[in-house]
Amino acid sequence: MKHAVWGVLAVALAASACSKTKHESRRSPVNAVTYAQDVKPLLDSRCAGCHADGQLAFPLTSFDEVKTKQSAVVAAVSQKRMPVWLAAAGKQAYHDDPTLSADEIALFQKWADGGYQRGDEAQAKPAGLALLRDLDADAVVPMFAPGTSYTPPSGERKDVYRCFVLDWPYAERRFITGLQAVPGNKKIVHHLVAYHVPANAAPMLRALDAEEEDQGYTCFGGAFPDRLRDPEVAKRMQGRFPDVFKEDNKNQELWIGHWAPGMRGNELPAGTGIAVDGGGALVIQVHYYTGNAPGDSDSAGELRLKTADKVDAPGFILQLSKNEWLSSKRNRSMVIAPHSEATFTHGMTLAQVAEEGQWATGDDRPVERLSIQSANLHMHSYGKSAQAFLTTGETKEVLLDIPSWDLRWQRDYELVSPKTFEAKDLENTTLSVQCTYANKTDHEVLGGVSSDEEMCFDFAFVTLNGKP
Amino acid sequence: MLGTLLTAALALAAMPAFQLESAGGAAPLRSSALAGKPYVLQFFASWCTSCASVKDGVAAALAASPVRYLPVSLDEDVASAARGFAGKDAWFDADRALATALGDVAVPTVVVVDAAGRIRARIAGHFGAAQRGELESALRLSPLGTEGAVP
Repeated sequence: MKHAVWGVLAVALAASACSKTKHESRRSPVNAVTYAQDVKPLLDSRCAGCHADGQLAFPLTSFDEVKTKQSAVVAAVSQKRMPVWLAAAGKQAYHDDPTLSADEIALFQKWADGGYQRGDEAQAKPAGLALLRDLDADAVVPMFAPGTSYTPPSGERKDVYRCFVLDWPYAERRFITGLQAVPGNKKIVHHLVAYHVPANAAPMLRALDAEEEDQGYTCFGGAFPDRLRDPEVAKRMQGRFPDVFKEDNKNQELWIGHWAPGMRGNELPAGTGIAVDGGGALVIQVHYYTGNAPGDSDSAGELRLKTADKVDAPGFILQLSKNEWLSSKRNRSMVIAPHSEATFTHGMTLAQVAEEGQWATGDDRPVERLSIQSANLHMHSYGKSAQAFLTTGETKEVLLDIPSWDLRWQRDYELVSPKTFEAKDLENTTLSVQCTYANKTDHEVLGGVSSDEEMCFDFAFVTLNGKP
Repeated sequence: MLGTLLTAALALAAMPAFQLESAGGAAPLRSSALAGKPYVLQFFASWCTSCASVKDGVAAALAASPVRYLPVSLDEDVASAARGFAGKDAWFDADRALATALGDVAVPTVVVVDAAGRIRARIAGHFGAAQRGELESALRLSPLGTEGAVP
């Protein structure tokens, strides 16, 4: 699963927008659009978060770097493929929307029409905006001890999910208010998810880690090893760690954050945070994709955390989906026939969401208000389109609409105006996720956990205000 | 089933005429030279990091197939095209002429053309299980000229 971003500065997009008057005053007498005056400020502000040295994609921060792919840059911008933003316009306003205006897009085309003029870079204005920034962290957890590394196997299966168990850096209960995951080898790290595991489960994970060769252990669905599904392994672990197998919800992993390409530091909305008990372990699940660099190792990476001792509204990451879809081999609840499309929908009342939130936040006071802060849709490669939406009676409000799915570009879409509901409205309102798939192959596709099966999730950051 | 396939075939777009430069100094390749033969175009660029893995997926699908594979560079110049994963075996789409004729192709994109010169599949972006399956399905259709029966 891959995701991204809350927080990140939405500072003054307008500051980087090019004023026509200012541009005209700086241009040559023939009014040529140039790289230095017109294109570079836009590339720096909207593209350099990913297209820079040390980031996901090839750099686009100098004329020489841009020159070798200038027509592709103009085509990508003109066709609105870049900057990437999958959310349909006109549904909601989101923080950090990098979308270029029609006038800004036209500048790229004029630049091409004018022969890709360089202009005077000494006169170029600074971008004045970075959509991505580093987190001012109060704890940093390295993913690897000095001298250790992990090399994902580079066989036919190029997707490898590996979990690493690390010390949780806080002894007391804290609220996570910001998180930045810094991947090690970006050529093979596809995305990662960070979990907190409570103190009673951490020793079991360390024991399982020690039993498996190389650093970490294989894990797909979360922080716990895949091997626990083996009845023999489960029975053995149950004998050694009986507390972990009690069905009291106190042994479960808590999703605290995630990283995908294009992300840097993410701060949660002001006054909110994810409650995490002291002690226990930090488990980082890394999805390695070895197709681009088979044989490469990972020996670096770290998780940076920013915390507070209290927040106004504790929150949690809701994983909205229908559990049975993941077991479709057995129950056939999600089946996409060959050469056909299929749509699946699942919803929870906000009262159910609040109940889940009370467990996740450890705050069992009656809920006075509930706020949905973000949406983040997740499918695999058969996905065609998806929505997260609220319904109250006959009224539907779309929180996120992705009309053309692309699994490479998944992220949190943080609402500029969170959707807030009073306690009396929680029972009558439903939050739903809907996914449409297109199967153009000759075989049926089932719901499941592997990358050649399908999923349908909305990962939403939800905050609760308890009654005083 | 046959009716569905025939309807789909009638709706297929025709491949535009084109000419590609050779990154290895060979004679240009004209679409007329490919008439009556199926082929797979893979659009790439030397700076496209995900294009190489798409190439692996296409190669696996074409492993037991007589269908011709044509890597087409959308680089700015032919020298850059030769630096891509296909080296001097690559073809170069000067001024993005073919990419534009196809309605602005981006990299990576795979286009399957059947023996009748019709576009059987156009697969853009990430090359996962769905895209591999779509390519394999397109290659199995008999009008592609691979002597197979219509499934």
